Amino acid sequence: MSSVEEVKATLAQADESADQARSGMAGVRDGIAEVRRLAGVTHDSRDPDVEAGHARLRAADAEVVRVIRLLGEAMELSERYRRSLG
Amino acid sequence: MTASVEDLLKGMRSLLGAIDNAAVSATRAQADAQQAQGRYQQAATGTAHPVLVRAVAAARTAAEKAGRTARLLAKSADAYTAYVNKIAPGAAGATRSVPGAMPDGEALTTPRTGGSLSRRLGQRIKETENSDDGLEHAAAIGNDVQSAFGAGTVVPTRPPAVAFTSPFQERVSAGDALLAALTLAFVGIRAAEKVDSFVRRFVRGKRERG
Repeated sequence: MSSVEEVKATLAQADESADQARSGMAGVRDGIAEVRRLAGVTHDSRDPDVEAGHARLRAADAEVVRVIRLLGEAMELSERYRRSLG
Repeated sequence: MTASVEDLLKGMRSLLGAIDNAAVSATRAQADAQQAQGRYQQAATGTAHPVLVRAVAAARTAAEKAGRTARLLAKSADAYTAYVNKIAPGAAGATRSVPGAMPDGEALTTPRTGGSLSRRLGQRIKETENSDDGLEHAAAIGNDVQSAFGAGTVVPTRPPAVAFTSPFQERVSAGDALLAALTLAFVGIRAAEKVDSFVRRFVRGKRERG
């Protein structure tokens, strides 16, 4: 069985990975914002492929928001557990 | 091809490149989230503490959703790629674009041999705008038709069909109409020349006969 210090160290590593993932997803969100700006080149085309592209971008953006929230939640829970260990 | 289509293709290329970058970042983030999940899981070994169990679940769902984000971005790129291929068939390939895979707008729109026939003719017509009216102007147009076709057999190349209304499409239609009109004019000029030659020979012969 791991010692308390080992568990804390493992949690710290987990938080670091989660934070990297969160930063990465923040970058993805910026990237999607840039893509949506660039999509202005289609000039609000009603072409079904363009509309499908826009819709998937919106869906991707919504997923990014959820991922960032979930990762923040995981880190918060980890911190709470670490505090409970004393 | 007009600047607007060229700009559109350049813009779409940038867009596809930006989507690819975002998809790559999402995939990396997915790997980081999976690593986080694994470590939370490791820390939770031997304990069923609800807080840690929730942390593991949150990290797992985050990883799944990061992967879904990357897939949505890829599907988005697929859709935009299909749109690009409607504008310029084959320009973006059949599958999702990656940076550099799609020729830039300039490469696509730069004519390989001076442009389509109708475009070259249009240019020639512009050059003869100041010529005299009447037969001289018609002859100039006829010469333009001849020089545009060249000495050998030339198969007029047509720009790719486009699925939307644009100034480019209007120009293609105008160019094709112009080509048809000039072809008729050329045929007419050649016929007129033959008639003229016949009349001259007839008059000369009549004079010689007295």
